[in-house]
Amino acid sequence: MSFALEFRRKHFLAQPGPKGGGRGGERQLSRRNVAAGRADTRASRAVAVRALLLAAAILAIFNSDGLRIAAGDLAERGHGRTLLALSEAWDAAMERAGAKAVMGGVRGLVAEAKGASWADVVELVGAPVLALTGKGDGEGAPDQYTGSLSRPLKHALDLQDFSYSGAAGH
Amino acid sequence: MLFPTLGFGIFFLVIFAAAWELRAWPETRKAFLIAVSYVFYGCWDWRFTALLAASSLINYAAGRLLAVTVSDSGRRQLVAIAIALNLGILGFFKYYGFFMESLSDLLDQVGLARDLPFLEIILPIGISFFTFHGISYVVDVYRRKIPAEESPLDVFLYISFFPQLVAGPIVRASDFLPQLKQEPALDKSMVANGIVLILLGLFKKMVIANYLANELVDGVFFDPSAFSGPDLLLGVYGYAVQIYCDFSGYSDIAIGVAGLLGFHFKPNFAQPYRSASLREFWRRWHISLSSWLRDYLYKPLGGSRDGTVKTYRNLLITMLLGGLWHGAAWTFIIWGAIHGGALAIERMVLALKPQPAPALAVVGHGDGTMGRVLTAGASGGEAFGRALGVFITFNIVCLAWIFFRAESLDYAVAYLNGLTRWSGPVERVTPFLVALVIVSLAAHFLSEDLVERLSARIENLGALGLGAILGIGILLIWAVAPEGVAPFIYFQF
Repeated sequence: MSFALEFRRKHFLAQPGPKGGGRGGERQLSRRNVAAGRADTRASRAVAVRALLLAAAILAIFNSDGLRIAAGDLAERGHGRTLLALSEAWDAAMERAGAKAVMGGVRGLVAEAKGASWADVVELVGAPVLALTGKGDGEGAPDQYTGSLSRPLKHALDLQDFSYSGAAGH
Repeated sequence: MLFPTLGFGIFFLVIFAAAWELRAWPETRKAFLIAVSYVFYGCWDWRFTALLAASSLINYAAGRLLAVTVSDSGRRQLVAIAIALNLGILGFFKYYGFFMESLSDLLDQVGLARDLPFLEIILPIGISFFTFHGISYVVDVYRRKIPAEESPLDVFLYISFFPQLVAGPIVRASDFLPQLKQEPALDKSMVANGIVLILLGLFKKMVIANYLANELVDGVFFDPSAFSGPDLLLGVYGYAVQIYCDFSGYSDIAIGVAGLLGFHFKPNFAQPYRSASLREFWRRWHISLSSWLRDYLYKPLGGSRDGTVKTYRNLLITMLLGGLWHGAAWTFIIWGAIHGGALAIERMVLALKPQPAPALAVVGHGDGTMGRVLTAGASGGEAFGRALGVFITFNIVCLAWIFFRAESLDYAVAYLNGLTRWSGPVERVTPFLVALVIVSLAAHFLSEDLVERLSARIENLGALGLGAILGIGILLIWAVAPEGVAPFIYFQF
C-alpha cells in the first residue's frame, strides 16, 4: 500500500471501533465512558463530603477551644450569642471528657522543644554515649538527664503527668 | 477571609457541597462560583468588589471587540488600550503614592519644591493578581490562543475564582477557560491530592512560616542594629524559608481547594532552594509569575533573539518590573535588579565556559511547568560543582531577600552591616529555630513527586481514612502552630 493511501486510510476514513461497531460503537463507548465518569464523580464527591464532615467532627471534639474562640469573635460583632453559649457548654463537656488534653499534650511538647538550649541538645545527643559507656547509671543519674529536651519523652509516655502551664502562648 | 481559619473551613464545606450539586447546570454553577468568590473577596472590603467587577468587564469587552475586529492594526490598538486600562488601574492604586513621593523628593533636590496632589489610597487586596489574570486573557485572545468568550460568566469566573484571587497562582486564561467548557469531574486521586495539598500548605504556613516570623524574622528585621551577625544570618535564612513556606503554602492550599472543586492548576513552586543556578531558581520559584513575565514581557521585548546585549537588557528590564510588581518601593526594585544583574552575569559566565555534557538539566515544558530533571551519572567533581552552585544561588537569593523584606533601604543597609558584626550576644540562634530552618531547607532535596506519591497511597482509604487524615492532620497543625493566624505575605502584593 502506498504512503498516500495509508495516510488517507488513517486520517480521513472512519476507523473501526474497538469492538467493531463503527460510529455507533464509538458513540456507545463514549456514552458508557461519560456515564462511568459521572458515576466516578458522584462516588468521589460522596467520599469527599463524608471525609470533610468527619474531619469537622474530629476538630469539633478535640479542638473545642477553637470553636469557642470563633464563636466569641462572632459574638463580639453582635451576633451569635446563642452560638457562644453552646460552644462554651461544648468546650466544657470536652474538657470533662478529657478530649482537650490531646491538644494540650502536643502543645506541651512543642513548648519544651522551643525552650531547649544548646546545652540540652548536647545532653540529649550525649545521652546514648553516656548509656553505652555505663555512665548515667546508678545514683544521681536522673540529674544528668534533666534537660528540657528529656521531658517531651516523659510527656509522650505519660500524659497524665502533664503540667504544661500554657506559657507558649496558647 | 483567610484559608487557615474555621470561617473558611465552613465556607468551603458549603461551597463544595453546593457546587457539586449544581454540576448538571454549568451556567448556574459558574454564577454560583462567581457569587461566592465575590463574597470571599468582599470579606476584606466590599468596596473593592466593584473594582474587581470593573476589571472583569473591561477585559470581557476587550475580548469581544477583539473577536469582531479583523484588521491587525485595529486589534493591536485594542489590546494596547486594554493593557493600558489594566495597568492604569493597577498603577493608580499601587504606584500613585510611590511616584508622587519620588517626584516630590526629586523636585526638592533640584530646588523646585511643589505641593503635589497626594492621596490616601488603600491598596485593594490581590489587585496585582487579578490584573495579571485580565491581561493574560486579553493577550491570549489577541494572540488567538483562545477564542474570545461569549459568556461574561466565564471571564468573570476566571478573574475572580476565589482560590487564586488574592495571592495566585496566576493561572493562564488558556489553561482555565477550556476547563469551563468541560463537564466538571472529580475522582479519588483528585480528592486525595486535594487533601494532601491542603494539609501540606497548612503545615508550611501555620507551623513553619508563622514560627519563623514570630520567633526570628520579624524581630531581626525590625531592628537589625540590635542583633549580632549570627542572629542576622539565621534571620535571613529564616526569612528565605518563611517566605517560601508562606507563599508556597498558600499556593498548595489554593491548588488543593481548586482541585476539590474540579479545577486543575499547575504547580507554582518546585523546591526552589535546590536550584544550582538562578535560571533554574526562576523555573522553580513562583512559576506562574516567572512564566507570565517570560511570555508577556521578556519575549515581547525580544527575549534572547536580538543578540547578547539586548538579551541582558531584556533580562534586567523583566526582573526590574518583576520587582516593581511586588510593590512600589526602592527595596523591591533593588531586589529585581539583583536578580536581573545576577541572571545576566550567570548567562555571561555560562556563555564563556565550555559546556560539558549536562550532569543535571531541568527541562521546562515551555508553559511554566517543570519537566523531568535529568541526571546522568554525575561524577564527584560534577556533584561538587552542583553543590557549590546550590550554595551560591541560595546565598544570592538570600542577599536579594534582605532588600525584599527590609522596611526601607536604610534598614537593608543596616542589616548588611550587621552581618559583619560577629561579636556580641547571640539571642535567636536557638536549637528550635536552627532545626526549623535546616529541616525546611533539607526538605527541598526530597523526591520531587512526593505529593503525588503520598496522594496515591491514601486515595483508596475511603471516607473514613481520608476524613481521619484530614481531621487529625489539621488538629495536629493547630496544636503545634503558634497562636493566631497571620496574613499571608503575598496578600500585600
